[in-house]
Amino acid sequence: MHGARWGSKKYMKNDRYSLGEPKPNYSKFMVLAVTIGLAGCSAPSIYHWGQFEDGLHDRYVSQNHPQADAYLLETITKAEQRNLRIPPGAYADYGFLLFKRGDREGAIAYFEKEKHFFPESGAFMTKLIERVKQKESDSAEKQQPQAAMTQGTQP
Amino acid sequence: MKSILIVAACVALGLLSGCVVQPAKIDLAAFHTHKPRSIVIVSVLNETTEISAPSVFVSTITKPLAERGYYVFPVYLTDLVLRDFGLAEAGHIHQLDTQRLFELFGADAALFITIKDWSSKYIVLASTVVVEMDYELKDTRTGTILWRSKQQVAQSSGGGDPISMVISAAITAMLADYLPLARQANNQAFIPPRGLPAGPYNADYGRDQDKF
Repeated sequence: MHGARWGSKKYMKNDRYSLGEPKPNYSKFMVLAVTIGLAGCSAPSIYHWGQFEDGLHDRYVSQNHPQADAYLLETITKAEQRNLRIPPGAYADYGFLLFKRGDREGAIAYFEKEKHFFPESGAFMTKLIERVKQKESDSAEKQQPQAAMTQGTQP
Repeated sequence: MKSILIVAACVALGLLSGCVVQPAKIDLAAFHTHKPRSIVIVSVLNETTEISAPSVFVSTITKPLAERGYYVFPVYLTDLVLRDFGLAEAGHIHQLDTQRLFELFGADAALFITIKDWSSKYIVLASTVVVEMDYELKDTRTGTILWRSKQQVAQSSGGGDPISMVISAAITAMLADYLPLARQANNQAFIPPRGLPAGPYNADYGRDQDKF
């Protein structure tokens, strides 16, 4: 906490006074400080996150759902391509996305994937799958009068 | 390029200072009795006047907790399900019988977060950005508190000659970026020695009792 405060003061001040003068040695020191800082604290990641957090930020703050969906898909695709672990919740979120797009089978498949990789999600995923199936039979019943409503189901 | 490095260095220093703090040990007996594997993070309670605080904060909480080794329920889906059951208010959810959260999600534990401060103060020559959170982890089946933490992170800018101080303080107040501070608070909360013991997906699971 204090480190951040004094650190920012010191470096901001320095930046301001240098006014764009190149100081390569100083930059190298920065890189070193950053490397040490990161190495000192963070263990290697368990999961491949990609822009998972940016996606959540888009969903909650900017309400930019298409961008959030794109980040989510990117996280999943890259992790699968590189054989890295998918973060908890990513498959479930993607399943929900497919459900919103009207792809119920896809939704169920992704909820099953979440359950497979994280058995702790089992009870929750089972409930979601039941609800997707419930919607399916609901809309089958109502198919005659409401055929146009089956796409883009909202939660 | 250089300013990026400077920002990165500040963040790194912040991280370092986060590791150095060594407050009193916390009682983890209840935690070790219940050994939660999964955590549901319910809607964040906001005690500040900054209405956007919970929305900004929520994007920072999944990753550090999952990296500690816990199954973290997807926060957005959790929110939607709670809303579906008429539970849209964080204040209401925080009062709920935790057993209900077990029924809805099958989660071993629930994390209740309260934002106590989320502000930027701009006082003529200097500005300070502050975030403060309370974290409380409860066993869902019994309601027992398993772990709790309180974190405050503050960052000031200003200093140097008066003109640059005014400019720098004004810019900091205007662009107040709470995200790095929220991340640092989360790290301080979850990482040893004061943090949360490692969960089942972390390599330290069951082997880190001496760190607390």
